[in-house]
Amino acid sequence: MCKIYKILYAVIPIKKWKSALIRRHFERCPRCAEEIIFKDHVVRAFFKPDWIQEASDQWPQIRPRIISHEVQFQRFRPGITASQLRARRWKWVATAAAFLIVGTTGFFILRQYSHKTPGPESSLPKELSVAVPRVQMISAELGGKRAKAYIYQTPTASFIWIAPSQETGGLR
Amino acid sequence: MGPTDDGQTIARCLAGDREAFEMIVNKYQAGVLTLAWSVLGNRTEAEDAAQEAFFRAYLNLQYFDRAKDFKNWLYAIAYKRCLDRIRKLKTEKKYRSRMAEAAAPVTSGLETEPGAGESAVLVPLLEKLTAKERLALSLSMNEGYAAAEIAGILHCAESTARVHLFNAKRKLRKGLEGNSHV
Amino acid sequence: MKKSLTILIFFGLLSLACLWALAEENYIIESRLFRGTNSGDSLAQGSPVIITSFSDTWFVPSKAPSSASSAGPNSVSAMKAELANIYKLKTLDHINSAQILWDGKKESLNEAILFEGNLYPIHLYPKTLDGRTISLKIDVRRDTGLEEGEKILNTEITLNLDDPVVLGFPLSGQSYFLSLEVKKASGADVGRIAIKPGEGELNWRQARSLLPQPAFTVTPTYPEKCKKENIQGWVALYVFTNIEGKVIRVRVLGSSHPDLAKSAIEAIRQWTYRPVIWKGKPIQSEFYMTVDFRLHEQSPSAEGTGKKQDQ
Repeated sequence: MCKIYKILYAVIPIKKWKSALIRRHFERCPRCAEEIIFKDHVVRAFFKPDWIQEASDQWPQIRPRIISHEVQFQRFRPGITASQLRARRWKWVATAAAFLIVGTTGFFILRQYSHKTPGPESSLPKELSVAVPRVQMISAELGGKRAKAYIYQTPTASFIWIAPSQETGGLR
Repeated sequence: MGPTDDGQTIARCLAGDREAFEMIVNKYQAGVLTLAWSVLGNRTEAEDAAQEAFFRAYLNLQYFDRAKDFKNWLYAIAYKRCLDRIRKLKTEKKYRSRMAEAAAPVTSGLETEPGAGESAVLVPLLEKLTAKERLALSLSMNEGYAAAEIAGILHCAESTARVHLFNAKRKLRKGLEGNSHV
Repeated sequence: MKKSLTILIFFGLLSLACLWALAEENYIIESRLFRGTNSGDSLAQGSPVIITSFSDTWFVPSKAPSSASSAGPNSVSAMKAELANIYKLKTLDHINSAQILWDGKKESLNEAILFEGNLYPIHLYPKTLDGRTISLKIDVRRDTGLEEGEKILNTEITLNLDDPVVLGFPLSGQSYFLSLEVKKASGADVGRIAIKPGEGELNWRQARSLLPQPAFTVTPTYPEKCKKENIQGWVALYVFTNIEGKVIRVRVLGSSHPDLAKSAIEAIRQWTYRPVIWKGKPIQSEFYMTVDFRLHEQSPSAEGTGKKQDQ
């Protein structure tokens, strides 16, 4: 039975359940309890080494620190460490978050404007920019039959007249 | 000095009587040093951590809830300081090497005393425990703390503290059984 | 420390989500239909009511869709002037305008124009080629009651963003001009979409965006009061049909005059459609519709869009 409990204890990862096992069995079962009892005085001897009694005067080291701290702040300001530390942490988080938001927004805005700026054509010299087509006619059908396309361009738009293939272009 | 004395001393400190804090230091330094020693395993580190703990306690005195136990509050601060020091040391390996250094003067100093040989054995065994397990064991052995009180200092659930204590005892026991000196 | 990290991660994820959402490319395809003659016939001699239906739209109820970009080189009046000049037209009517929202991914967009008793479904098949060039297939038909309809124009072109292309073609002795311009929709534009197509699996969305063919139509009557007071205008509607093709709900998104809206609703409510068949079953549909009331179109040589328009 003890073996099963030992296996369970080894296998279960949840501390709460482990604790329940300890209370239910390990502390009560004489055999298992025996396993965790040992020579207390041995342990005590280690945990309370003699030097601790020797080092029984910490105040001379602590006092100067307190004085220099008080002098530094001119008057006693309790709690400067705890809550200020917390506040500093939150400020750090807030700053990082603000940077993230600003960065994201800026990125989005830049993308928007980058699309509004003229395309690569504008960076070309005037002679070459004509070579980049504003419109291309791939195919045209009128009434299900192949048709011809006549392109006329103005600065504002490209006008394509689609005519049946036996006709000539234009209206008249 | 009882808890009410602590309260009076604290009141005096908060009123500006810095020297009154010496009474608190003298009262609790052994316990704090023991705690720090159990976690850090090195005298110098333990003393530094203990001094730091008292200093922080002094600075945060006005936030101490006088309805609660001052010793537990102080021990919790000490434990946090120890953890900070461990982080600074970065790895437990350094702890072990320091433990080994610390073991030498202990064994040499205690050779003529009964149980000295056992200390030499315990040092490497304690290395197998985690900091929390060592602290839990120390608080249980030296202060007689139960799992609930240990949990208050470790800032964990009672069940977790119980598990730390249990594991510490088991590991130590196993190690001792394997050793013919015990 | 853990708390700080959690909050940082949360903000990071939030930013990423915003980026992803904003990174969606949205375009507006503006289409305009004009009709010109050399004979002097004008639209006003026919029915002065033009109904346009479309599946996805960018529409601001407070602004008349047909009067969008009423000034500037790409305005309706400027385009009319250019068309008249290039093709030597005596009369030129602006039939309708539509702004269709394209998410950059959808493969087909639908528009249907009803005027003079004829319904002209227009299918657009856009595709991005690179940052500024779009490939566009255009299919214009006339609804004959049969599934395919009468083919009018089928063409494929590539065009650049913000550079309109005007396709002119002859039909029944008149010249029609379909102007198409693809623009990038800004975040603000996208936010102004009146209604988005319903959520659901992608296929369903595609199906619901197909326009059903009208089976029975009633042309809205031009309110006498508006005729007398020379009030022209527009009404924007969102129409719901059930699986039988009956119009079950008409929601007014905006109108330039309440009497025009009333007349439009009264008429559209009587419409029935041939429901779209999806996976073998008829489905509900929902789509946008604009009804334009026109009284008089000026000759191309004049400025502006004719008589006073209510905004």
